[in-house]
Amino acid sequence: MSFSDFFIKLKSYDQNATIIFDRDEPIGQATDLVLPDRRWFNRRARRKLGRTVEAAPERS
Amino acid sequence: MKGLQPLFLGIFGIFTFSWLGMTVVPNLQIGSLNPQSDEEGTDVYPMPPSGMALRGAQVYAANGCVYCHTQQVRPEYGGSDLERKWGDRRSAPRDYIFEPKVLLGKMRTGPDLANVGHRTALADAASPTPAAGAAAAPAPGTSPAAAASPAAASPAASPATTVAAASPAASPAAAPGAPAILPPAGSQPAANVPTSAPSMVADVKALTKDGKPIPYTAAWHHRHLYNPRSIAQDSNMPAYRFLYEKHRISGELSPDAINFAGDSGENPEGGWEIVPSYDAKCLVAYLMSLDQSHPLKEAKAPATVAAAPAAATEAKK
Amino acid sequence: MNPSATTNEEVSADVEVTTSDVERVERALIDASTRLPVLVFYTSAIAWLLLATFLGILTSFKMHAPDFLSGWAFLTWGRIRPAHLNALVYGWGSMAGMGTAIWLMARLCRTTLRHPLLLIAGAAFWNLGVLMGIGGILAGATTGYEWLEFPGFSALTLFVAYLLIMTWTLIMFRYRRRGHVYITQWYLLGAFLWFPWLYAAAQVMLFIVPVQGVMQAAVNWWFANNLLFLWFGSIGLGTVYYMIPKVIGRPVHSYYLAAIGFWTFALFSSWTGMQRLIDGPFPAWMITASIAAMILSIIPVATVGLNHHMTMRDHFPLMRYSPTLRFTVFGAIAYTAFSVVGVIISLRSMARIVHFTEASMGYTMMGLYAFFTMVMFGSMYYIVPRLVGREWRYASLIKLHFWGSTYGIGLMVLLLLVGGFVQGLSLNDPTLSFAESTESILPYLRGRTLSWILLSVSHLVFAFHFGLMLLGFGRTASVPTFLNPLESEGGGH
Repeated sequence: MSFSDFFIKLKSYDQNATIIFDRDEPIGQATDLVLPDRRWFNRRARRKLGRTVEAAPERS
Repeated sequence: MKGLQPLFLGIFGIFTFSWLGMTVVPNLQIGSLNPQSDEEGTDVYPMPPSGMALRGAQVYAANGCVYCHTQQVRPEYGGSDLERKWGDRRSAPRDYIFEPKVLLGKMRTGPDLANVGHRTALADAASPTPAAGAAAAPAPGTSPAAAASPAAASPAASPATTVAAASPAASPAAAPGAPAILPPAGSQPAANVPTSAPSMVADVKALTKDGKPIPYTAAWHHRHLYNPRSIAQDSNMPAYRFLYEKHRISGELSPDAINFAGDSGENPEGGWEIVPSYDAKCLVAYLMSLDQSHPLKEAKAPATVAAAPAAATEAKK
Repeated sequence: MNPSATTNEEVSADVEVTTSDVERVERALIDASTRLPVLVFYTSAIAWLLLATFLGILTSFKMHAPDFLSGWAFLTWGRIRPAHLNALVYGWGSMAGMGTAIWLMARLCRTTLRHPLLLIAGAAFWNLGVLMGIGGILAGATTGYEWLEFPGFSALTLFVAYLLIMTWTLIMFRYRRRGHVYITQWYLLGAFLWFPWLYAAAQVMLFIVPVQGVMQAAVNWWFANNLLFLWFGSIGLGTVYYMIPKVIGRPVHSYYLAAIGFWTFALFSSWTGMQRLIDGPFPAWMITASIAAMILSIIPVATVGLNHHMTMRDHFPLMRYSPTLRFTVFGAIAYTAFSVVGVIISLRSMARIVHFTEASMGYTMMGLYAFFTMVMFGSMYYIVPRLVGREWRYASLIKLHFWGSTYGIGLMVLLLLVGGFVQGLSLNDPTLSFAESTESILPYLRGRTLSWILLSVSHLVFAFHFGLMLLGFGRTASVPTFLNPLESEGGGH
């Protein structure tokens, strides 16, 4: 087996990591963020909330 | 299914590997040992336990003694077991071949019990020759008895040194070979004869000066099991009162009634006595059968430690 | 709706039309088919957890108040302690783990669970086995071997129940939608196949054809350690591999690392166990082999830890919003800590001190609670809403649960490890009387009772919250399956 074959195989293997996602629950979409933002919880975190969650899709 | 065979093969293979390596192979090595004996075929060690001890092991397991007490003596490099006089030598696989349940234990909230059946002898051996006892003391300031009987720490310390004079039953036992050092009744098949009534009487007779039972005798064990704090004040061992029965004294005091000398708080009101149930007797028989003092070829007593307790070394020869 | 009506062909035939809808319906059907069995498993698990917690407080309290309730045989410390741990291991841990495993298996195989009633029968038998076992322990029918205390009839019931449950899981796997097998499925398959062998081997070697002498102790520790690693460890790690990527919406950082981690984990951790018998009456090679395996098991731990960390990178702030993520990440970190502590306390120089002390209990609780139980809590927070179709009602209760558990277990582990070390130091100093070594640990044991009280509060809160969900008092979400985190509102509080 040549190296290129080997890398192709490795690459397809790595796709396994994505099989838990589908169109309905795609990569980049969080599925369980249900704790509401509360005033007393963490002010700094509250300011960052919007950015963090929205930024998530691009990163992955 | 393509590509899955390796997964299943791997899962099974790895497990087989572990099973063989950790249980089957060791079992081939130490799983079928025989008792050792000298050339003439006498002095066989170990011996199968008695019926009472067998049942006692079940009582021991049922009440969870194993969660606080170990039954293994580590070698000299493994801890202070030998210095604490929990044994003369490390435990070896052969010590356990007849144990009905091998309850090595993993926790020492209480002291090790591997040789608890032998400690009566140890406590006695230390006392007749105060000089040897002092030499055996791990450090100045610690009385030899405290080292020999850690569980009983303070209350036991004073009586143990005064034992010899008051206990005719015990002193001759110090002379012959190790297996015979056991409590009075343990003469013939040595180690494991249960403490039945006669020995109980002997125990009752063998009292310290202030009337308390000698440490690690059957009478002592019963009192300790019934109320650990009447022996060692700060002990956090639970009391096993449910193993004992309260009887109205009819005529004479039962020979095996618990001796509460020196503990006024525990004495039952007049006319009543506390006697061990059969299970309690079995448990004590089991405890007193725990004795790994017999020399083993594969587990020699380390020279450094053996040299210190002179009495113990002599007993071995 | 009949879950089994949806076959694979039907789904793939419609792919062109509205894939998203089909997938959503398909997932809903799969979740619906697992609803009853998984909820039965969870409900029983939580009931056992409450019992185990109660017994845990009692065990811990009696340790420093030995005369408390000592008059009755069935309440003696030596009986409630194994009852407590067995309720935790077989009642709570195994049932919660199997519930989660069944749900994950159905989802990952993309197949509906057929004939769920048989699975429920399995759960019922398992409950019966645990009930009889704990009754047996309290009645004094204990076998006396750590984590195998259940008397024979109860062990047999457990085994039969297990075979039923395992068969159903394997059948699901057999009828999975073709495609890749995800790493979580590897772990789950491993766990489901290892457990029966492990359990049967231990039962046979200890009770049916008992091995001689100290080999019993070796088999016992081999079993207990492998139960912790191969059973709880596999289910826990498998769950983490699903929950973290799924919640944050990001695939596992490296699938190769995951695969390497799986194989090295199985290979090395299955050889550990004998380090708990260090310096005991065994051939030295057994203990050395286990210590070596323990040290080598740092490889899978590092691999898995690195993988999760890289997956989570930049997403840690999400832990503030997702209860699942919070519990799961806590568990994943605790797994690393658990393994590191395991290596440290099995090194000979350290084992000399902490061997035979409470530190070993601290280590066990790290694996059983800080890692496994927390991961299970996390998975329940994810799975239960999908089963009952409602959201968790009170965010505040979830937080209370989390912090109660975190502080409780953190305190307990800290106290037991430090206390064990102190105890070991005085145990190893022959100039101190033995009683002093026990006294040195007592303050820590009192602290442990406090940690159990914290844990019991958090467990009661969780059980109450779970009860609300079961009874249909969960919050109805306006958006399907909680897609939009920013719209979700806190419940009444």
